[in-house]
Amino acid sequence: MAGQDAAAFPPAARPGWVGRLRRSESATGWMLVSPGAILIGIFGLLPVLMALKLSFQKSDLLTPETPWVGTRNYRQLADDPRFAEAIQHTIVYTALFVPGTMLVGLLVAAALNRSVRFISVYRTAAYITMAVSTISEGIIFLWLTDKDYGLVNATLNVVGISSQPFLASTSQALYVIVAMTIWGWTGFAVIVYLAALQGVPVELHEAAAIDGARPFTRFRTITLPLLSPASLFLMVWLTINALQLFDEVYLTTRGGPLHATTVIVYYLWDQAFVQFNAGYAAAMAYALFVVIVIFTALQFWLSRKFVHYS
Amino acid sequence: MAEVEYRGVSRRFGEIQALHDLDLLVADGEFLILVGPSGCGKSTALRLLAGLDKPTSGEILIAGQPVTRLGPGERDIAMVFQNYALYPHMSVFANLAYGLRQRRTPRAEIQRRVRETAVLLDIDGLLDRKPGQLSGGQRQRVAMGRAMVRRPQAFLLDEPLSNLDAKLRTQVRGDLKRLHLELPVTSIYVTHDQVEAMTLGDRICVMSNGEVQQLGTTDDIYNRPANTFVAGFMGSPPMNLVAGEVRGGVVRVAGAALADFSSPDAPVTVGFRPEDLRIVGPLETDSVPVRIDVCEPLGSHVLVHALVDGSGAESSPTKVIAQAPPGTTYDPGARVGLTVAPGKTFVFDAETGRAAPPPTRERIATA
Ligand SMILES: Nc1ncnc2c1ncn2[C@@H]1O[C@H](COP(=O)(O)OP(=O)(O)O)[C@@H](O)[C@H]1O
Ligand SMILES: [Mg+2]
Repeated sequence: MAGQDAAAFPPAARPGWVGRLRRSESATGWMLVSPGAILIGIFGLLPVLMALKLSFQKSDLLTPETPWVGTRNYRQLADDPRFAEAIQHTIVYTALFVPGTMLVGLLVAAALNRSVRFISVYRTAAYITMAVSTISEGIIFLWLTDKDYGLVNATLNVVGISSQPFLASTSQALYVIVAMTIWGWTGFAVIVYLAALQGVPVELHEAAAIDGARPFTRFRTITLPLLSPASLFLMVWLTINALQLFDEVYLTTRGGPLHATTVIVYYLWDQAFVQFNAGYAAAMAYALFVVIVIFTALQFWLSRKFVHYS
Repeated sequence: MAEVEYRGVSRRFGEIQALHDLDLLVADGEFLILVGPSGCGKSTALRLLAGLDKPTSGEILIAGQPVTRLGPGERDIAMVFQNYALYPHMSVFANLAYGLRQRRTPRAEIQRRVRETAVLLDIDGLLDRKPGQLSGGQRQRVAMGRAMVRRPQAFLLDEPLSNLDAKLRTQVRGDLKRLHLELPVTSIYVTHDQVEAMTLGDRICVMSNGEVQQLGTTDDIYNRPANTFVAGFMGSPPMNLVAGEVRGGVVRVAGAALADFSSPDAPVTVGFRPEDLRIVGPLETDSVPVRIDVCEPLGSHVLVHALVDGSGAESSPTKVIAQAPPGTTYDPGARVGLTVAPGKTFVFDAETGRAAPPPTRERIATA
């Protein structure tokens, strides 16, 4: 269309690149995105490149001398037992948080995908965890799991279980953070799954019902496969977020007790801004970046087997 | 295969009475057509039989057994949906096999039955494809195959051809008829297209506003319409219906005497089909005087649209359509007369719309 119009009514001829630029749609496009693109360049891309440089230097962020150390920071990562520990915590956390959030989100979305009275009230209630800031979330969970006054321990006491230390325990703290972040992300997973569920045609369920499939079989053989694009999206998105866990740890346990909740990004922050080993921390950030890229690629590769796009 | 029966079945949706006291017996192996305008309750009737919806009152029986309380999977029926509802993430083979798998059919038996059905429907080359890779006609056949492969007690088809283009529809219509002759399974076929209804069915059930208007053979429906609704709905174009009167044992429209009719003098609705009309000069005796509106040449014949001049009291003139030989042309506004072939005038009660006893018989009786 545009091509035909342009041929029928050629714009006033202008020689050279100025004329070409005026006519080109991409020039207009770049002009429209330039305010955002420039800001992203300055505050996003530039620090990324500076951090890459930093990862080959020694820096305490205070003194101006930042001598080159080559790959020493990266080699040091391999021999750091606390980094290995942080990786282990991150893997455990991710392996529980991602499937957990997806499962809870799916169950809640399935429960909300029907027309009953006040359904929008229930749906809003499910989304609301998204609107809660991480700080409030941290405070809520600190209160809930408090050893002496927490609601969770009070409830446990009622059913005859003694009070648990939760966030104060090396063996429990990480799992409390898993529970807390699943709670915080459920609203997001519910929205994604609910939207996908509404895209599953009712007739498919009816056809399957007539074919003799029971409700759970229908869910497994019809609904789940048709939700697979949403599942892939959530899996990738939640994994990327899980590998970068920081806020909740900072707000509740500060990586403790005894490093029990020190995950990669918390350790990175600790190295950069507490120990002032900024070069080492930058190397860690890049190692994490590579891991995230590999994970994401792996998930997309795996998804060819289970994701159905209609 | 089994007979299917509706006993006083009603379904309300809030204020809407979608189906009103339906009584219908479909014989074993019969191909019954449910036809009516959009929103008349056809799909509702089918969904109630399938178990996808529950009646407000009444009972549904399959093979003499009440099934009203059974779920859709326990009724042993199959349904072909308007948009086919094929499982988009499964191959054609898996689509066909799905119902058999749910019923724990042995693997070898599934293979055999799916292939057999696929060959019958000429889709055996498509078994590995996904529905998204099929044309509309192929999808339609896969949907048929999924219904047939289970050998159900009854087939329910809800406007299965409406998503096909006109040419394909005619072809598939023929295929359906042939399939039913080869495999006479009790079938209920829903359509809003009266041509489809006339060509396909053993019997036709004409519905309007949730109620049965007439149940009968193609011949009954066409030649003995029970009321003005059926007369005005079936046929293409349908029957012309104009205001007239019975006076002195004669049916008259705009003064023209069309047929003898022995009943008390009363205003009536007079019906005649386009193909039973002849266009004559405007002054011919006993012809209905009309003004030409427009001529529609269709190749094999011409449809002449005309307006019956009211008796003066009526505000708007009634439209009628006459079928004329090819080559017929008239200028818009030209005045001509219409005569009706002997015995082809239908008389309906002006108030209720119900058919008066057939005119032919009346004429023999009075002759
Ligand atoms: N689930 C429903 N809720 C409310 N009204 C409905 C529902 N299903 C059908 N109806 C109404 O019932 C009437 C008959 O519908 P339907 O059986 O689908 O008609 P048809 O198939 O003949 O076009 C229509 O007026 C329709 O709006
Ligand atoms: Mg319908």
